[in-house]
Amino acid sequence: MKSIGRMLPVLLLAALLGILALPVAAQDMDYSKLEAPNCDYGGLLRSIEMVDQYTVKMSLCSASPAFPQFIAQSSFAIQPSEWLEALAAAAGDEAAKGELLASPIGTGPYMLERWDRGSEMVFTANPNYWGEAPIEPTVILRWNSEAIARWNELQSGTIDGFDNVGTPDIPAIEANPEFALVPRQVQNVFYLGINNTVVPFDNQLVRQAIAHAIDKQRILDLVYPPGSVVATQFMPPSIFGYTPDAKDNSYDVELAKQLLAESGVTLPIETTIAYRDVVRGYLPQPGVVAQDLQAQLAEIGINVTIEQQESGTFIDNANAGNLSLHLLGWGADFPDATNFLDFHFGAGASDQFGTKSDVITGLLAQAAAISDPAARLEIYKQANDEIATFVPMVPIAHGASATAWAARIEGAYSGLFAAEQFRVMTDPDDDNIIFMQNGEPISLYCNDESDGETFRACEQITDSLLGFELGGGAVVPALAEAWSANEDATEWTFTLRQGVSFSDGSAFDATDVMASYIAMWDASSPLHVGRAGDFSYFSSFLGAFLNAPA
Amino acid sequence: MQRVETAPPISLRPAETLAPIKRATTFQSIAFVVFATMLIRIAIIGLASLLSVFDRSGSIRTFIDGVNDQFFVGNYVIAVGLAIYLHYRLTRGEQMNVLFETFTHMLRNRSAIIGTVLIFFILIVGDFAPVIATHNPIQPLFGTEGLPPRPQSAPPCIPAFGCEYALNILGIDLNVRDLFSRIVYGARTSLTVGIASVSFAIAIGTMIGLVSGYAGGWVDNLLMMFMDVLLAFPSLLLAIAIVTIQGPGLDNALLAIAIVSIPVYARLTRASVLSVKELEFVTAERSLGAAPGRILFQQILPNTLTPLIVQGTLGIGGAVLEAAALSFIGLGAQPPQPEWGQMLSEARSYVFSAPHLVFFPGIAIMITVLGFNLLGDGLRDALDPRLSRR
Repeated sequence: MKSIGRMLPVLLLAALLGILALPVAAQDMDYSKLEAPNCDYGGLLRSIEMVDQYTVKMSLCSASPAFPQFIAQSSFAIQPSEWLEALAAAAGDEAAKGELLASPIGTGPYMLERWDRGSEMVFTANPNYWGEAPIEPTVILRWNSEAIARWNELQSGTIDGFDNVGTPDIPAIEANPEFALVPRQVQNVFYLGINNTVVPFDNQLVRQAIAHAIDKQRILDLVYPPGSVVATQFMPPSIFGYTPDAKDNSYDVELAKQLLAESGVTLPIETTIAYRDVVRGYLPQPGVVAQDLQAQLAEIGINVTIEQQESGTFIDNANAGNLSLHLLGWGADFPDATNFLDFHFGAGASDQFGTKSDVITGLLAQAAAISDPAARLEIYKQANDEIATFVPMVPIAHGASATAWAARIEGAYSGLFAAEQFRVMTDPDDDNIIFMQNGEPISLYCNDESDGETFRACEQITDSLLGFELGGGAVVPALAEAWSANEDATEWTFTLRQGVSFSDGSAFDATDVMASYIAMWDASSPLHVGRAGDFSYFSSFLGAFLNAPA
Repeated sequence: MQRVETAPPISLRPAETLAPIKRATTFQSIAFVVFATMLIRIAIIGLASLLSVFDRSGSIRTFIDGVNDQFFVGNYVIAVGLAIYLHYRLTRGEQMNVLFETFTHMLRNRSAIIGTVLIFFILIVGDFAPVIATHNPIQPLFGTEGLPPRPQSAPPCIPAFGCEYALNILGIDLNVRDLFSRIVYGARTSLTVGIASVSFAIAIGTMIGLVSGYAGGWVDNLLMMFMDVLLAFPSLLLAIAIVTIQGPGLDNALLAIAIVSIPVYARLTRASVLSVKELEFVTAERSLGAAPGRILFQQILPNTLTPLIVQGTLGIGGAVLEAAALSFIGLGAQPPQPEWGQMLSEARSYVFSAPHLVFFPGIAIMITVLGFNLLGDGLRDALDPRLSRR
């Protein structure tokens, strides 16, 4: 009896664990196929299907020529099905979930060795990597929000490279042969957002007056690094959807004053410009730009109070339509107009600019479903013209940004749509690459993240079905070694790479692809779990979730 | 009844005044007028800001701003006039007034003199900003005559180091405004915030201290407990909390700094009251039947002023720093108003490429705070009756 008494706690514990494990074990996941009953649920995906162990077929509700670019992003990475199931099992337990989110398992060139919160992330080479083995065995990722502090670290030799060089530091870096500046192609836009639900900006003439009152060249000269260009439209010149002959609200103070007079609004107009004091490639010096806009708008009788907001609060306020004038920008995720125009002015866009124009949403929906580039471009030209008339925002600049490196680093480049792949870089002095970015990654399950600083960490560890070429925008094979589409771009077949294994040694096959996509797509699946669980990139590009709660 | 002849009437002059007669030297007189001018100007700023609390319509504020911008010389005519009159009043007898004598003690203190000179300098610069500044501090200089075309994205520079894109000795700032003019106008902002917040804190803190010290008992306990709670917060953190609730802006920053420094003055006053209220002259007044208000304000308050003056002077320096700190993190002065802390914040990423953008506002803050600290130290020595004087 005594021995049973001693065993009792152990037995109880075992029983408890068994009960806890039961629901997961009982639910034997079916990864063979997931299909939407019809296309009325509001998303782009119709079905995903495992054809055999190394073939996956996806069918879409409507044609989408940009589909490969969507899924080449690091927020569509393939995770092992076992890891996703473990994450699902930890759904209610924040500590266990946090642990898993910080210990990713991927097929990428590196794997996470250590994450010292608030300080650095250390990666070691993944011996199972399917591609060319990484040159340096170790990569260290650090972060600091001040550009000048990053430059200081590079000068003192504690890092090998950093992102987002500050404009004032560029001449010093260029002049010094010990360092190399690597400019990044311009692929973003900085704009002054106008909410048309706020009086008097509900008056289109007032919005047009603001568009004509801003001397963009002056702002460009003030703070932007060489290589930046004045924005005549929302689309950056390097990205599909840019139409050089689109309508441009050029700088003309007299016209602006005349438009204001026509609008019948009483002057002066009292309003606020909101901004966040966060440096991005599209906006190097937010405070200086805000003050210059303040001075420029004062010329036509608009008195502006500058309001600085905390970054997260600012974004939330902007999306909820709580701001009147605000400074924001957008950097490309992939080189297509949908990433810019649909996201901001399409039917599914947020309330950032107030009421949407039906003409613009109609044109954008029309353009997204056409596969002929020339015909699409023709519609985008009309859309760009309409936007210039409707003025939901005033595009101001396309900012150049750059990374800086110690000159000895071989293979250094600036990532464009995907972050830098450190596997191709060599440091002759030691056996690691130390890179410094703006901020700390949030978690390492990037399918449920939307922050560029987080993606850079994920992209060392995980791969998506497709990827982007180094420093460019072309889609290249990754975990899928080949892909093909039917004629109207609604059915996509992916042939997976064979013999690939994850960093923990388990084999990669179609099950993992199915699990990763089911986790994102099916809101009722137990796998639909993440840090926040909103999978915002998936819903931005592929529309609504399947079985989304009403 | 016959009148009895008594001893001849006693001289009304107290014994100590039989010492050799001292008269003010010319240097002392000039120094006194300068010092008094400065104090009166500071007092006017403080009083004006106290008044503007009760000013819901903003008319007093508009009036003061108008005077500061248009008739700033008038401020000094009044201050100098009052100072000369005060000098006359304090020195007209054949004997030096005790206040004037204290001032002569202070004149022997080197740090007090340096402090006075620095503060007077900053005060003059701020008050005469419209004359001293060469350009409008908030207007970008694009298209101004004599300004060469701007080299694209080059950091601002100063003419002393061979820079052409400038109109003035300190060059332009990041928004192509004249840095010198901004620093000159910034003196006005910083001094106003420093003086006004300390005036508020002294006005409220002294009241609390007087009541608390004189009433004693549960009133004392309650008030001091409340002050202890306020003191327990780190002052800048509390100020940030207040400004966050009230919304950013110079007025709210001023209020926040005032609130966090109230306990210092309350405790200081209370300590003085506790020691003064037991002295014989207070007991005498009380036994004559004087009302508590009369005793407090006519007998006790004047005898608690010395530590308040010293602490207040040092406090202005601290308040200038706190205002600069709040502006640095974007909670104080709002752009485009020139404020030194905010100028530092704007230029912080240019600290290597255009160091003058942070150097000059920094120096301005340093001079101001140093001035008040030196003067405060000097006053403490001059006003301390225990220090032996030769």
